[in-house]
Amino acid sequence: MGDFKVHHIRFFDYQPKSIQCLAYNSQQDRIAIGRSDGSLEIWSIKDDWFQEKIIPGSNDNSIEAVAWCGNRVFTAGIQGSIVEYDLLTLERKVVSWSNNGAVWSLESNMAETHIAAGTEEGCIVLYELTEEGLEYFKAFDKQEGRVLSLAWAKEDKLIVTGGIDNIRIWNTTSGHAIQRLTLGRQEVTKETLVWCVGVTKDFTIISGDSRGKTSFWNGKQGTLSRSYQSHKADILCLCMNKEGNSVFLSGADSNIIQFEYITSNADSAWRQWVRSSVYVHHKHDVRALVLTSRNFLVSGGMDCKLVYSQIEANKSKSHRKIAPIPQYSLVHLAKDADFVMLQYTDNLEIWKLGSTKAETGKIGEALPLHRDPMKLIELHSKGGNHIVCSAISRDGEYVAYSDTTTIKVFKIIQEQVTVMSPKLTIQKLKIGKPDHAHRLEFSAESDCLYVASKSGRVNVLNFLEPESKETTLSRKGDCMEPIHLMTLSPNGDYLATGDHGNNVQIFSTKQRKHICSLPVYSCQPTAIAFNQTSTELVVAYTNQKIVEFNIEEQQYTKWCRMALDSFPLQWLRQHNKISHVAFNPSNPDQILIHNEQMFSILDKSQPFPKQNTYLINKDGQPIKKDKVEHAFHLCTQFRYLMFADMVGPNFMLVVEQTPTSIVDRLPPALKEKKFGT
Amino acid sequence: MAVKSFATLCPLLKNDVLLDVLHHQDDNHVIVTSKRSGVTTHEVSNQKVLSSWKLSENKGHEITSPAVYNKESGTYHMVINYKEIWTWTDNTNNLEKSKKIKTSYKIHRLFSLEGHGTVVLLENGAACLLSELKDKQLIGRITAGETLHWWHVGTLGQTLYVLFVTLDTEGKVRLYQQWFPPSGAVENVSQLKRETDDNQFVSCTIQNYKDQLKILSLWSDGCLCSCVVSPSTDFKIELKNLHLIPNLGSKPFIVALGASHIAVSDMTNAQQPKQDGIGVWDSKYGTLQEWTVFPDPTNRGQAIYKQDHNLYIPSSNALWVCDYENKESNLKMSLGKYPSTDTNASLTAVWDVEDMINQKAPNASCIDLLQQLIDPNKTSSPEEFKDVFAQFFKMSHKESNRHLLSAKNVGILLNRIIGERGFLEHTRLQFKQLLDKKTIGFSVCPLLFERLMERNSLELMSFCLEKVQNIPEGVALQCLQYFLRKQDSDFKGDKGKLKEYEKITELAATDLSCPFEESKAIAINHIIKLPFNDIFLLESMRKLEYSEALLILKHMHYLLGSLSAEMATTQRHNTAAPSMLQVVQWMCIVLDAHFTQFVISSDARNILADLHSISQEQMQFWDDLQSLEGVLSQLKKKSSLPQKQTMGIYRIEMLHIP
Repeated sequence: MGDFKVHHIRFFDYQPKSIQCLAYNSQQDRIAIGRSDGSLEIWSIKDDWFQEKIIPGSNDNSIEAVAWCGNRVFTAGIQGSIVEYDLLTLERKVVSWSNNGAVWSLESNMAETHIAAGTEEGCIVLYELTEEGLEYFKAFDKQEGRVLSLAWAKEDKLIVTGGIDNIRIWNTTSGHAIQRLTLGRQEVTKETLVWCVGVTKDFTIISGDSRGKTSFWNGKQGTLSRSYQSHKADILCLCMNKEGNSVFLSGADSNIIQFEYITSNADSAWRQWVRSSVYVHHKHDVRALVLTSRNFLVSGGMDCKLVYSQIEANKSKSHRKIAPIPQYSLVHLAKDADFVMLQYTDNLEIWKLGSTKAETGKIGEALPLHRDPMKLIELHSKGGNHIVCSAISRDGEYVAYSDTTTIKVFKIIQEQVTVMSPKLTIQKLKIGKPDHAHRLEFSAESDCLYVASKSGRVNVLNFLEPESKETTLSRKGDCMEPIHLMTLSPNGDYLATGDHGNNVQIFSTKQRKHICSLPVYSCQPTAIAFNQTSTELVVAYTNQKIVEFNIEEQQYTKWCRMALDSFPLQWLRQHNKISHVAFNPSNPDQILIHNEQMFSILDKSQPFPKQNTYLINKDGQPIKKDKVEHAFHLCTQFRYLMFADMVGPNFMLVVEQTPTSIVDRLPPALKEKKFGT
Repeated sequence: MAVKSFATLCPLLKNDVLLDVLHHQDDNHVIVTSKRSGVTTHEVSNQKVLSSWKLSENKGHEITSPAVYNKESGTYHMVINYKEIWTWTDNTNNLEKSKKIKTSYKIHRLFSLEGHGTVVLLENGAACLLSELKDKQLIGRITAGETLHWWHVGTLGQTLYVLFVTLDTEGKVRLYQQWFPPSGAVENVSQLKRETDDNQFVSCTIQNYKDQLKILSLWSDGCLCSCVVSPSTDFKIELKNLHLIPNLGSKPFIVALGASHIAVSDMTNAQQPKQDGIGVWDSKYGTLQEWTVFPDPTNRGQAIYKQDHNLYIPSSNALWVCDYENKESNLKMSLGKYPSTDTNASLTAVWDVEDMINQKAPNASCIDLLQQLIDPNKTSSPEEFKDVFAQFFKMSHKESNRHLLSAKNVGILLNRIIGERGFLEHTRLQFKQLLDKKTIGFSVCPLLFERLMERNSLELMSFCLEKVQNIPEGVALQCLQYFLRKQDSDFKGDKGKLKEYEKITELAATDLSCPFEESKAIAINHIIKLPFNDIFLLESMRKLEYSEALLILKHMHYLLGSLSAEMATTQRHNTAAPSMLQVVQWMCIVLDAHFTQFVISSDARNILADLHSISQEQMQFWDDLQSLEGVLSQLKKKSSLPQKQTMGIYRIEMLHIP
């Protein structure tokens, strides 16, 4: 393929947030993930584990529990409120208060009509679901000590809760406790906390507690039928299958242990709970476990990684760890000014790239730097609000970001550029108070800002003349799904958007109207980009296919038609989503695409390899092409790859965040003690 | 399936109605009949007209059924005004001079079938051979209001069959089947009904694959349904929804191209919505294999025909012949070919009955043998058991029978071998063969070992410990306890292993002595080498008696003391001694389980003190090794290996992309 000069950046200090809770929605095949910074993520399993939506958190919103109710999602946390989210505008919709302190557990009933919340003050609060939101329905008798976990049982007639030193069974109609199961203590002064409870159809209660014991209780009689010291430390979460004969538990001791309800003897019908398999997928605390309807065991915890494994019998027990890197780009480039902007949770950093006078050098070696990179600006959001999206104009003169409330635009005035320490002033522009946006993009002349608004439209914000009338580009069709991709063509004539309804639409920025849409594909788009001549749009989808659409002819290009059916099978089998597409200015045939594990250059002028060709070997290294050149040129030496783009002819920018830098900053895992228990 | 080329076979007059394109003498010749142009025969490869017959005008003659060619007699048959059958040969110049037969029945269609002659289908639904038309009283089953919509005549083996589909005024679709096996004719009517009544029947075609007739029907919502017809299934018709074909026009028409492909007319493509085209649909995997723009605007609603290896498509002014390549349908071809970009279309691949039939079923005799083995009444003596087992075991190697050796069956057989009196002595070989298969289940383990302990069979126990995977910790400890209680002289070690073990112990020049004889030590070491979970092992370890625990501790003490550092650090498999790590882990568990007793008893005190000194020595050794690290790094620095540049947080580097 050739040699490239690369700005190799490791100063993007992105720290992913740990997973607090998980909830699975079987109707939509989606998973909701609550993270420690209060943000909520929706992942689509259907689209091969695509990180679909992110609802940013805020400093006053923690997420301790998450629950689906039909297609609505609710979270609760230590601030004592239950929040419903709007999955179209991606913001908090309705907040209901528990009036009993922090909420530790949240569970909807089978009929999906009520939600029960376990609170700090020991009260279980029932809410009824209405169209507007949650309505307070009933509060049960107060118990001593917090309610840490709860589960509905017996066709919603009973609720089982786990608290401190005990498990209680409550009648949902009367609100009184009808049974109390007491747990022992390991040390007299140390309370036993029941972190998780589950109930099977035959009313066996399964609990995991702070002693590391898994207990199986007879719910009818309130007796302990079996107890195992399955873990060395607190068991924090459990999940069970639909039939209720298999349960998985994990916690501070990160082994996931499966118990199964099986006959112990071939000749007898007598069944008992026995430990069956151990899954070691994490090294740090596991905070949440769910089982999907296709028998995927999903786990997440302190190490920020989402891990899923197929647990069906007779299948290989392989698992996949999803890298804790967002599947969209947090890095923006102002190509004309050599600026790179890094988006953190609540601040932005703008760096000027370094430079070198050397034209070439030895492969793999650093070139002597003529100028070091410089951090020019660190811009913090007001009140520490979480940043949803940001943009920088091509000339580096304007910066915009949207937090959870509004959009802000700044002008950067460079006074002394040539000296070692340039002087910069930053000036906030008055633009009123528009609603927050999902994506932002500056126009080619940097005179207006395209805003993918929460209403699903694209607004044109003329920030230089704030008094002028705001224009809107309306999307075609009745899809209300939020826009998650937006890009402007190099000549500024076209704007393309991609949304979660699988639509990719192209607008003319001059006429300010929709001109065409791509055929609706069965998968969601993950990255879009216009080529250098602004005539073709390249779209990458979750199934790893890449299409090229000619805007003037309004159809797929010839190359695309050929390519669609001939992608190598190994390419299609990979799971990491393509998060960015770019083009080599010196060769219009070369498309640069990357995911978090590798980047590849797709050369359109070269033939596709045979479909059974292997591109990567078992160690994840590209296989050397011995005889025939083909279109795929892979590079796997950067990991995790946050961003890759071309900054000039054969000159790239690569932003890398190494896995070790993430792991190093995690809190210590459970220490394994060897002697003297 | 790939459409290769299009060519015009013949022009069509304006307002002409094409009746059919039928087979002539061979694959390269067809007969085209149309209402105004009459009958023409063509050579397909060069699109030449070979002969042509036209009706005289103004005589009130109208062709109602297209001309068919009977190969055996070399004659053509055609129906004029529903009731007259005209017969002529290639030598006939004037069509008016052909032989005419008048009947009282209203004839719908004529068909020519090789080996059977010409078949007549009447408007009332009755069918017979042309030669029998005059002799027979023909009563059809079609009721008033029903019209024939699709028909097909063919043979399945020796059986001639006539199938046709009628539509009535209420939109009900009926399938009529008439089978003419040598034993006597049978016929049946059944309604083709879908779950929802909203959709109308559009078109129909038939696929013949591996002696199975499958009728594919297309409905107005684009749904392709299938049903299997045969004379033997009590005429039970089950309409199965296969796929949704997207982008269909108002009047599509389907025709089968082979066992798994159909051609669909009046179909557009998502990318070219305005252009009319022909699609090739894979009816097995539900994918659009190919879509080709048709060179000329077609007559919407006009049927398309398939004859031999060509597809015939009438357009507004010509009859086109389309050559296609017949490829087999497989999953590889269908990959990446989604039916459409329409997300609403349900994407379901229906795996046909044929696929299931192709799967190999276990051999009936093998099942029978297994049943004999399982039933104690059928194989009561060890000799009988051995004989049957030998046969069964031989057959079980076949792939189709392999699943018979499931954990459950193996469990039952093992249970018989060790459970029944006098069996084990004679069937040791069979026992080992079964264990060798490694299909034994986790749940069988406790019973298996319990029985073996009852039988006092040390050799088989060692064998089981070696072969059975995933032995529960409790069972392993039971075995250990059992071994400990046995005398040293009861063990007979494997010679190879003994030698190996001797080598290891020779290497270890210590004054420690092993509490067991070599063969017993090997057996115990084997248990130590089993994989385990410390929590569960600890639980079972507590059940051991103190004296036994002390023995194990002594053994551990010996192992720890005798294992040299080199032996401890290298990873070895299948050796007689456990690794250092295994010994340390076991010792931790033994100590944890019986700690208080060890501390207060005087027997253990010496060992504990000694263990302390050994561990001190080991620690000293590792510490010393660590101190050598500086020397090592010095050595590394001195060596001329190229130094790797440290990355830092930023650099500009050169990157080569292969």
